[in-house]
Amino acid sequence: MKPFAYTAATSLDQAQEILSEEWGSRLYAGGTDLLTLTKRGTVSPDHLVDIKGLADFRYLRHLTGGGLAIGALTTLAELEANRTVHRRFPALARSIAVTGTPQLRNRATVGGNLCQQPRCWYYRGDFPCLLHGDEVCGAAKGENAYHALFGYESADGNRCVAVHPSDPAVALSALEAEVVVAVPGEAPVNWEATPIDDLFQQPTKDFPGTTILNPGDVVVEIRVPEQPKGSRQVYLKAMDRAAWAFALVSVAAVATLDGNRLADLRLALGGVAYKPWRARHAEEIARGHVVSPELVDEIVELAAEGAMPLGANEYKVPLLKGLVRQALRAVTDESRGI
Amino acid sequence: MPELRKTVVEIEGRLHEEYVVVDGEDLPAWPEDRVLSRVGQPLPRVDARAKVTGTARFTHDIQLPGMLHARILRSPHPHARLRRIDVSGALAVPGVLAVLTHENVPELGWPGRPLFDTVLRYQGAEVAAVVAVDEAAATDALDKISVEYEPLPFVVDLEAAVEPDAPRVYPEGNVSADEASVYVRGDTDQGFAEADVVVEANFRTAAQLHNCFETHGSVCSWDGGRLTVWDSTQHVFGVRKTLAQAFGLPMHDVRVIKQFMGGGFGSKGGTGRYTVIAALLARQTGRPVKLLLDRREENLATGHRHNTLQYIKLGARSDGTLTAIYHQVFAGVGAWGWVAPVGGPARELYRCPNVKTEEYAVCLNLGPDSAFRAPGYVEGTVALEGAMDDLAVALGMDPIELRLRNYADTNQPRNLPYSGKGLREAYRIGAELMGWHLRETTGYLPRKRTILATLGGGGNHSPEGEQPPAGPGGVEDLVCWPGTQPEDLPPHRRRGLGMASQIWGGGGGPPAHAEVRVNPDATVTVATGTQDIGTGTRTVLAQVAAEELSIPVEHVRVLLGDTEAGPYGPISAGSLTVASVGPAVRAAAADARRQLVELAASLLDAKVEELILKDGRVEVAGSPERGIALRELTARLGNFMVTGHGSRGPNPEDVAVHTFGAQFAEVEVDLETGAVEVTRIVAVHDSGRIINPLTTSSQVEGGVIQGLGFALSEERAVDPQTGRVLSADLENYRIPTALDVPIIDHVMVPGADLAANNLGAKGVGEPPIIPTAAAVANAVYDALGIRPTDLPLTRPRVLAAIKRLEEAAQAVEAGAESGKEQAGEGGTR
Repeated sequence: MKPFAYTAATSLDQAQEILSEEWGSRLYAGGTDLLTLTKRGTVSPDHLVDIKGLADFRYLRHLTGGGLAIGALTTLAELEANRTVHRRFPALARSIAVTGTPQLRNRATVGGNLCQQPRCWYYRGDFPCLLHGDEVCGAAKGENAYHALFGYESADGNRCVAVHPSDPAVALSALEAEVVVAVPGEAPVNWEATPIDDLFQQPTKDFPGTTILNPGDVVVEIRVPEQPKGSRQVYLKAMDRAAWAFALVSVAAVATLDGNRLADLRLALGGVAYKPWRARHAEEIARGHVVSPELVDEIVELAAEGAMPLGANEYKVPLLKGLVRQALRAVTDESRGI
Repeated sequence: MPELRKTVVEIEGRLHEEYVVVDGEDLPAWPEDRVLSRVGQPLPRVDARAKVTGTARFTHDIQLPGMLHARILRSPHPHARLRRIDVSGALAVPGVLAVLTHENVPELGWPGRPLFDTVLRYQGAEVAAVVAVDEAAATDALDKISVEYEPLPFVVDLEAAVEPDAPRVYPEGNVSADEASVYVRGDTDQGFAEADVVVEANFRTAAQLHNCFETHGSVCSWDGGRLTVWDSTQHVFGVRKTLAQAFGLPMHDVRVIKQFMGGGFGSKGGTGRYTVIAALLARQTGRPVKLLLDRREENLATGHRHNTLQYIKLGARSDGTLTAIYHQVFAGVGAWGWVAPVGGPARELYRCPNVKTEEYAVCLNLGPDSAFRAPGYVEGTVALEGAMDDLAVALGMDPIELRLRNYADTNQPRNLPYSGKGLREAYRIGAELMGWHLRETTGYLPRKRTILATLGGGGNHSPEGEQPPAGPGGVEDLVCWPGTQPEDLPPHRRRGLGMASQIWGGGGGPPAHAEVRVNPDATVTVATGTQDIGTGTRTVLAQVAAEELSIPVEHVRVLLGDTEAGPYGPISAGSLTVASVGPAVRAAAADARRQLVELAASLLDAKVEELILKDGRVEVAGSPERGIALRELTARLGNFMVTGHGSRGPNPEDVAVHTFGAQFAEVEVDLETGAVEVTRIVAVHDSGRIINPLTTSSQVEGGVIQGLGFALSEERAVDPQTGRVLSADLENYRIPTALDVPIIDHVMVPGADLAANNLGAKGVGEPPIIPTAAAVANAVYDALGIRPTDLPLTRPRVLAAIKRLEEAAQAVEAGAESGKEQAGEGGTR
């Protein structure tokens, strides 16, 4: 492991200054991802800028007009234990409960969880990978059982086929959350809120980054809007084992029912794309319709619309459909379990 | 008096006949009705406190003054020729003292392959070793070694490697028909001709990686011409022998120590190349050297359970009597290695006059394999017991009834009766505990299933240029309608029950020796050269000595894990420690007891025959007032230490000693998501007399959990394009977590195996892993109506099976609509 400098930042400005000026500096908070990447040599930072101590960014605050603002340095364990999160955003609470292990959740921050690197084993090992600066994505034609169904356009090796590993991101997407990004040199009043889905970008050969963040940009807050009264939420995650695994496929569903009618439905899929993948067509078809077996079948089919299996991940299509079906069952029929 | 005897010893499923020295006549086993007060007690481990407080020192904990650290540079390529190596950059790193490569490695009497080869046949093969003042410097220096490799064509896929035009690991080819292990009993052609029903199936099992908590590693230190090695090994005496040979040392100048072990599971049976490298670097630098492998190296280069491709064919009469078994196995052994006895269950488990098994080693450009807890039998049981359930379906018989119909009372390959076989009892107890009868009445699958369709399956595989004697080009799978399901289940979930049988050795044998030293205060030291690889050997041996000497277990201290602590102890493998070392300890304790009684006789002025040793006193039977406390007796002797010697007697010649068992699994399969949830395992095993039910229960649970990993999630993944291992870490190689462990109910069949040895005890380390995966796969078969053929049962495989099921159902529906009744007759093909 290469020696590196370490700075415990005393202000966000100080951190941003180093991060935007020093090539090779990295933001360091919980470290659950960065330290493992560094130890494996996947990344070799020259300078770690530790923002863990910035207490100003570790909070949960009620927003005027409802909703919740989450400081990016809040740990997953803190979020998981919060009663408001449990009561009003159960999909988010559940997505955290099935993330990693208790030890990891004690350490990991919500901001870091969103900004983590893919878990792709080509990226994390000594294999061809666009994120390493290689010419080709090794997973596109390799062992891609854990890889994307959507959003990569072409499996020609020029596009990264990794999926975003975060569970909370999927729940936050279905909850239509926004992230606030602090840009170096800008006053906090000018910090903009971006829909969470837009935080992520698909890495390509020319732009091998996983988020839209520029050096020095820091996710400082996540805003979860108030959900419609009576909204029902669920987060379902399929794993290779019962705990401590990333999602093969996951589904976050947020539904608002008006009697038997689906007033609103939001479906976000995890483990299938470089970002939480919203099944927008399925959502549209659902909206305003009475729940029926035929409607459920249609939503299930549309959720998988456009899926492009890579070879070894064909199973994700039926898995996705099965999970969507179970999520719909959970949010539309309380009398039946998942 | 020591005496030379010839005996048959079984290790890891293979028989060996050898000469052994035994020390006098063996004792008879404690009879079945003998009330034992130390043996049979569920005592916590004697070293539990040391382990939980951290005072137990593992190899990783060894720190010596002036100790250096070494790291190994390993090949990044699955197959390459080493063209050029330049270590000057590494030597320039501050703190680096030496670098070893094939160019400067000294000549050794090492019997293994070259420590550093110029043709590298797997990712992880040793290229160079660096020794430095600390681990960071050694690690940094690895990057500074400049190597020019010429990549060579490679093969990492088992099915690809058996093809004639596959890239070759060795010029001779990847499969050697000459070196195949072939077993024939009777005439299988005749047997299949006599069969009313024939079933056949292909199975694939994945390479399982040991992932011991404690990685492989050694600390080596020279003191003049003497070498001391702290090693993570299952066999201190084996390592001593090899190192003496490698360095041309007298045996008494090599000392090997293994006090505490973080797991071995078969991967630490030999002498590690890293051990020899560490010893060389220590000699060269004149300082102690620590060389520990990291998790990645562990998963690339220290062994694995070979993956298999199996074809099995069973023939039976309509009453279920087996007429023939044919089992063909291709095992991916890696760059070199051995085929474990995958055909063992087929040869031994059922009574059948006509059996043929063939086991082929297939070389691959992957790390060499090694033993892994019940090597071969785990894989072979999946195939045999899966095919038996197919046969049960085809015959419309209950799976247990079919197994009982073919119950073997003798070891057929050796033509000897079993010394004890509690399998029938295991079936009975397990069936009752699991509620097996539910399978036939409400809820579970009906006894006779409707065979819905047959589907084309995978191809058959044969070694180069040779057609296997039996087996068609493709195998068809049965698809059955599942029966009624329990009412408490939602429609998208299916529940299933399955079971599988276990046969294994575990009888142990000589040579194994022990000393029992009685101190002047009547405390006792047991000294033996075995090692405790984490199974509780210290505790169990203390119980045996305490029983024989009728003293409290706390008064016994067991010295082991050190070639200088006691006489020879065998490798801790093959479930043989209790059955080999235990009897030697009892014999040594009996020898000490005899001497104590003789000494007491002269003090008490009594005849030896009149005296008994009971509850820490020697007294005249019937006149307890004429007695002396052991402590008083030993105190009278001054500083004399009574020393008893004992050895394991030869194995019985007229019986075969084996362990048996059966496991039952209850699973739920989610038809929508392909999730397989094992809700309960019932494990019933017969290992003779149980010395310590608590350590036994740890073994059974550990075996079941490791078996569940093999069944459900553990699989080495290799990138087909680069030939490199993708799953060389604990994130991507998925061992079960605590949340994956179901309810495990376990029972040991009561009774002692009096013919086995003087304890009546047999091993329990390996048996519990053997039937778990097979039972789970059979339960999934029961739940789905389609037999899983490929393990582990990950989502892709289960969802593919569900898809085939749905397609078959649609085909039948379509057939029914067009007026053709297809469903109906269950039966044969």
